[in-house]
Amino acid sequence: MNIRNPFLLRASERIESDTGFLRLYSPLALDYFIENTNVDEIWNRFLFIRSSPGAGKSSLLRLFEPDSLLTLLNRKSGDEFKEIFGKLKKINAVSDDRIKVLGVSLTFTRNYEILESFTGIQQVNRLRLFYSLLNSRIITATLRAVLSAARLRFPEDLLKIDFIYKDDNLFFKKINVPCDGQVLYDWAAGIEKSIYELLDSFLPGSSTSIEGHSELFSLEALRPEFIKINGKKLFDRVLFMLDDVHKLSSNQREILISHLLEKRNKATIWLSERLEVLNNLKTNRGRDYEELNIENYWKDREGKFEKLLSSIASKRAAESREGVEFILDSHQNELELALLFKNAKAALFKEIATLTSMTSKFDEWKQYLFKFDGTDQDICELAKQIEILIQRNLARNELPLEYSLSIVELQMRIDEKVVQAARLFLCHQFSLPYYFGMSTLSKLSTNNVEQFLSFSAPLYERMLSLNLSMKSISISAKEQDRTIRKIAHEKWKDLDKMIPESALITRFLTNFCTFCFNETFRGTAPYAPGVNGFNIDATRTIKLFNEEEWMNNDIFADLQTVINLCLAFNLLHIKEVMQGKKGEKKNIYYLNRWLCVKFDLPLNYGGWRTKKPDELLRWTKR
Amino acid sequence: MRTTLAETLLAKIMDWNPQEIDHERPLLQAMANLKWNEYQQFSPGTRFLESLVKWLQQFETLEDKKIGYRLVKDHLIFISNDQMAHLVNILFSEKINPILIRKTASEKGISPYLITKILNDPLYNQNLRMSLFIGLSDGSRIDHFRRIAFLNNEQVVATYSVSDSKMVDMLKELQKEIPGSKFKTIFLIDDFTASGMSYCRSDGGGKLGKIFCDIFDSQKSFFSAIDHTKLEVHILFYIATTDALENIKQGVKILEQKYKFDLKCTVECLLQIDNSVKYKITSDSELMLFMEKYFDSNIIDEHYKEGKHDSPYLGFNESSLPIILNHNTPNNTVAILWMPVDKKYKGLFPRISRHRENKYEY
Repeated sequence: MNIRNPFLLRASERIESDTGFLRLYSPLALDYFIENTNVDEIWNRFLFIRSSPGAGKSSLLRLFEPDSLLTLLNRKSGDEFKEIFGKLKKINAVSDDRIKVLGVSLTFTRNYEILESFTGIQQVNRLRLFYSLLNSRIITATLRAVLSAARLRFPEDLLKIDFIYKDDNLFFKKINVPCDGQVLYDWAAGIEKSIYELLDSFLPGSSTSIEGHSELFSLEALRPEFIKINGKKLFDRVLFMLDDVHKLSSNQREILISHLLEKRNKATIWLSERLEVLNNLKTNRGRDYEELNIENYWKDREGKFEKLLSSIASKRAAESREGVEFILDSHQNELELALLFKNAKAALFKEIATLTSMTSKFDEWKQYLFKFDGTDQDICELAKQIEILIQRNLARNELPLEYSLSIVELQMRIDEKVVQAARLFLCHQFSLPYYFGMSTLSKLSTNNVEQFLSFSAPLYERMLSLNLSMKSISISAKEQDRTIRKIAHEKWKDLDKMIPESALITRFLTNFCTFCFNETFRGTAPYAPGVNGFNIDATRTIKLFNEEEWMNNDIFADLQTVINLCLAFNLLHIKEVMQGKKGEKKNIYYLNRWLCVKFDLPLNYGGWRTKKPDELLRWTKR
Repeated sequence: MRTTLAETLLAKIMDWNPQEIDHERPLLQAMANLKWNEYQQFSPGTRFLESLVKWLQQFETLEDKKIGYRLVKDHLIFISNDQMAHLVNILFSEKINPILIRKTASEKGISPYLITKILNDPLYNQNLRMSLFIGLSDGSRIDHFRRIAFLNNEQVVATYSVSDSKMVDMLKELQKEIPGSKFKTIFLIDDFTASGMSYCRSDGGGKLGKIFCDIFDSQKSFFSAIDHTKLEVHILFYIATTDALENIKQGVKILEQKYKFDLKCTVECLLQIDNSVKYKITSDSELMLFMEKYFDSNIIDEHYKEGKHDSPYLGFNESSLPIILNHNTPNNTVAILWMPVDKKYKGLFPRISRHRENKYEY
């Protein structure tokens, strides 16, 4: 790859060469399979892969396509591919000498949905056409994948494939099976073509001439033992990867999933979809299907996610023609900020003196602070921590007993949350950099790789510019902070173009974030370090008449739209917490972390407030 | 020069800070890769960035360098090979076919909106075959145009001075297909005109003067190949300025008076450059002073003087254009962008004159 800034490359589908893709792919996501299940279970489960756009669904699927696996097999000993090959070997996708899994990828497009709109065709026939189209596409995709994996040419070598399925159930009505790959391909392609003709026709449709199917038998028929080349079985299993399932109509999606779960055939099936679709399957997780929610997976593995991003960053940087590493300074540059800290120290001392002028309770704390031996930055942070604790103390409605609080008491009260809040308050009050360093960038990415790239690309561009100016490529904390805020601001401006109902959504988010800001920056820091989430408490709604729950109530239509769109476009994400009665779980809706940057909020989790649906609805109105 | 080295030098010359580099560098790289690198008159091994560095280096102060850079970034219009090829591709369907459809409709006395009927009529095919296509310069890409429009080789000529024997052959071939017929529509095609002066001169000369002379001179074989009773002449450009189109129309009127003919003659173009491009430059006083300062009067020769030249730094005939064509820069473009490499100040896209004495002008 001969490009300046590889961080600007996006979705895996757009990275053309397999080698290029594999070089940039970080295999840490494969740990999900290694950690969670034993090796055989991976291939026996029906797996949903869900996430917001850009979290890495399609990249994960691309990894299992024959071309990627073959490239890896050829270069398995190369340093850049060793790790990824090792992990795939561990889950039995490859061995040292061959591919064990035939990955068949089928990406859904909106044209399946068009079938649904053919009201001239009876519902039952529409369903049969849908199955026919799926069967034909799965068969043609599998035949292509087989040739690819066997390093044969398409379509010339279709004849070399033997399809030896015994058609006991008479699925194949118009061809005689067993047959060769060419016959099978022509038959399947013919069905696909006739459906296209129906879709493209301006005339009222007649589906009677098209071969209709009543089930998805292709998954059953295309088992590895039935596909041979030169009499040899080539793979241990076939993995059907159905990508972008959310592009089906809700009816088609439901039918497909119910059918697949009902049949529970031996094929390995992975369905990937965006979170646009709220999962309402009435099946037990683990028994009937497994779910990999990529963002949730990383949510509980912050450290690992940071490692993943660092790995992605170094892989991308290595692909740049300019040979510049991606390094982020994780310390506030004292020299650059020295004057700011000096002024802040004086201001804080003055503030504390004013705050405590009427009491001697905090004299020992003040003495401790004034004599504290440290840098200006350390002293400022301590001063802010003490100020928060003083505010808290003064806010209590207790009779003032004028005894001086001890240093031990001060140290006991300074916990991690106070430290975090003090840092946030300090940065906000004195315009000091707050969002900087790799760890911040990782939090900021909200478990989404594409979001990480959108923030790291301009930062890397800056490193390239510094390198070009023959300066150190290290970007100061202040500059990182400024760049990150600028990107967040631009993303906010782009919302108008990117999402439907943007006026409604931005109004809601502005109101919610203003609320968060006010709660966060209260002097006592009651939800230290700050608030950036909410929980919906529907139980406390006062019912004057027997009204429905907010989720099904038309009065809350705007709120339903906002919540659904915010989840679909990854502006809000849900985290489950255990709180309240024993075993009670609550869904907390947290802001995507880039919105926290836009509204000057901390990036921590845990700071949330409970809101009633009508309060939330009010935020959509004004 | 390696690109990175050129970029390092550029950042130094322009005194850019890292923020400015962040902003300017991707833009320059993208535009260079998209178009600017394909300029055919760069010396071997030189690409846009290297040329830009050398070009900026010659300006005395940082302020001047910034003005020069602004000229490139805000004003430059570069017509790439792909863009020109696209114009060639659409010339037939956008300009020529509608003319033939209208002509056929008028001869048949039916509405020109009955497109399918007209296209299926043998008269349309006859009108097409009885059309003569003449390239007015090698920039007209007449060979490319002929292939795209599926034209007969015997109705296309690459030069406006057609030999007698060629004309006799073409007429013979035409009459084989349509006995007794002659050419009754002439399409004159060229790539670009900025002033129109090389087509029509005040003395009745120029390319058009020569062609009309051939058409109406009964001594020439060209004359006998033309059906003068129904003759139409259409002058078509891929790109032209509004001024040039107007000048050529006026020039045609003078030729009409000179040869006392009355024929249908139109002047059109696919991509018209209006005067706002010119005014954007001339209304920028800072830029005007800059261009005046960095001008070498050695480029003014007798041919240059044929146009207005009170402010010669604005290009031939003071056209004040910021246009670069991928194969060469027109001399109507402001001089600082094209001055040849042997002058005191060098152009960013040095122009190669077609004739040693700088006769090349559109």
